[in-house]
Amino acid sequence: MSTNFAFVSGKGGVGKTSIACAIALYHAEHGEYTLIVTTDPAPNLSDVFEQPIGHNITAINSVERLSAIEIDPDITAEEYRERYLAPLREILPPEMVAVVAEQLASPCTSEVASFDKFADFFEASGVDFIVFDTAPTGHTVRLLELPADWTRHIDRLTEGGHSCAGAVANIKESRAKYDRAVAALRNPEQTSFIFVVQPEATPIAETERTLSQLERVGVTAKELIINGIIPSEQCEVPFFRKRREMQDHYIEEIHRRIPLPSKSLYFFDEEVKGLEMIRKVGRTLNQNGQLSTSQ
Amino acid sequence: MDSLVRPNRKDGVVDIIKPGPKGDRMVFFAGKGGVGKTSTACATAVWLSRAGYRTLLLTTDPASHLSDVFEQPVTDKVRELGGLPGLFAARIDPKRAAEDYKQRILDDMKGKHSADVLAVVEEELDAPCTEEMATFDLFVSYASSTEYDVMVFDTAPTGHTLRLLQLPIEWSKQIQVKVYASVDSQQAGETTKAKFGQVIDRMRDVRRTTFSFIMYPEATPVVEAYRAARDIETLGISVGFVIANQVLPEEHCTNAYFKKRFAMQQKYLQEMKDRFGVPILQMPLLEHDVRGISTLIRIGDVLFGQPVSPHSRATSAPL
Repeated sequence: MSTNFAFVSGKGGVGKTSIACAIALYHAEHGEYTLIVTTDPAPNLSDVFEQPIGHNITAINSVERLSAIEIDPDITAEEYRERYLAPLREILPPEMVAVVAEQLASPCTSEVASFDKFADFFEASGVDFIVFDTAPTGHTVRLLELPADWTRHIDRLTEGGHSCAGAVANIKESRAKYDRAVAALRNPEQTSFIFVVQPEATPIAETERTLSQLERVGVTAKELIINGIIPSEQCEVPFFRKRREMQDHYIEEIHRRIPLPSKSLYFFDEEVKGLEMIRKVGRTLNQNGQLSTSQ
Repeated sequence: MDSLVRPNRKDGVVDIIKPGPKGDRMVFFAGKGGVGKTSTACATAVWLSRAGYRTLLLTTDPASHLSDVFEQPVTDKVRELGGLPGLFAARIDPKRAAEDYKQRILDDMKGKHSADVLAVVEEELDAPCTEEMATFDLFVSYASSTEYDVMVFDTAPTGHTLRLLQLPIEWSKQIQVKVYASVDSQQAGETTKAKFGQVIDRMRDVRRTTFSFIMYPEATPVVEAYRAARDIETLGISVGFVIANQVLPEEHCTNAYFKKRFAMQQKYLQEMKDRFGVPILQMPLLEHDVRGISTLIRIGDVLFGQPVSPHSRATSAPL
């Protein structure tokens, strides 16, 4: 049986991790061996599951079949960068290496580095379902698919007698790994993309843009979660009633501009901590339909 | 003062948005998309012009949104805004700036490299980072202007952008190094580099430039902003003040639900204070979008106090 994947996409602070945890918990409690992977720079999985987690896959004590890992985005980017720089250091002058090093430190390269890490999970065995609290962009996918790449680049440089055979082999291997991962991304039976958006002007525009870039590379989103809605029953003063009216206006705009099935998630009055809170998020997400499982 | 308004620690902040000892100032608002950079930059620019300073506002926001905010068009040509004497504004379209930039590099490379290489360069140039770079490129052309007392930017270069500009090879050629590792480093455009050098020096001078980070007082946004601030500090640029946006007004938090949420924000305001160690301004959550000059005036007053100037007679409306 192959592994299924879910990616939760949206900007920092919109509740991606809580939503990813809720999805993971649901799958684990419905009989699937599930792994949750976070790349948040301020990971809070330890708060959520009330046990230390960290950079290695850790079994969650209180939930059967659930494991978690917190990936440090800085370490990931650094490891990725080093893999490419090591062979270049032997064949390029230092000022050129400095240029490549900084290019590889760009936020855009960090995305590729995260994808590189994801790709390892795509090969995982013994796991039914993996949830990531971040997602590759269309740009990342396109970059990985281009015909000319580091492999060729390094092949050419090594013609002059420099020896980087090991590095070239490594990179060729990565290439095959990326191809398999990208194929899995494009398969909606295997992979779901879930977008979290707040009912406000700029987040709506950004989500629309990200979605169309993914569509151009053949990746379709599964659903949208509108997060941060103020519950009507809490709007006792005119101030919050007006704020809610503004949100309703943007919710309508989301439905008009983004034709995806959507679910609403309310603004919680406390931070998401402990299994009960996560189940509560899961229940809210489940109100308008089952969180799908492959079972 | 409106009861919505929570007291701000304005001490010192007003002094670092006004022109410094050299008679000028650049103010940058940094932060993630959608946290309120443009609204804050607009309100700051309006405040400065009301305080009597000749102010230029440079914004990257979509034209449609800007015309909602100012109730008049803001285009790529610098223009004095109606009803706001002394406030000049222009819009930079990051997408178009990136397109123009990309075209210039690709035209330069055509014929010199294979189709494969051009395809990779083109994709590399499609990165969001190119937009940031091209936008900054345009900023630099304004930054050498001496026509204004204060220039306010609603976006800021990241540490990465500034480091690329300091490398020995002009950044228009750097992409070729990454993709193909074949560029003559002698090609570095000395004039361009000198121009960037001047701008970066100016950004490091706290008497002439102020960086402000905007964030929501929540766990991940505070950490993300802090990381970005540390990155920019490695280049010798310091953060002047930070802004917490969408702070719940305490007087409206009358039930248990909002009281809890309010207490949670207070915890992260404290974390901002501990981490950044610079003055924090609090921007209250509004009951509606920022729209209209009267709202911008009101926000400016909340953030910086009433400006003292001949122009300050314009009345402000409640938020």
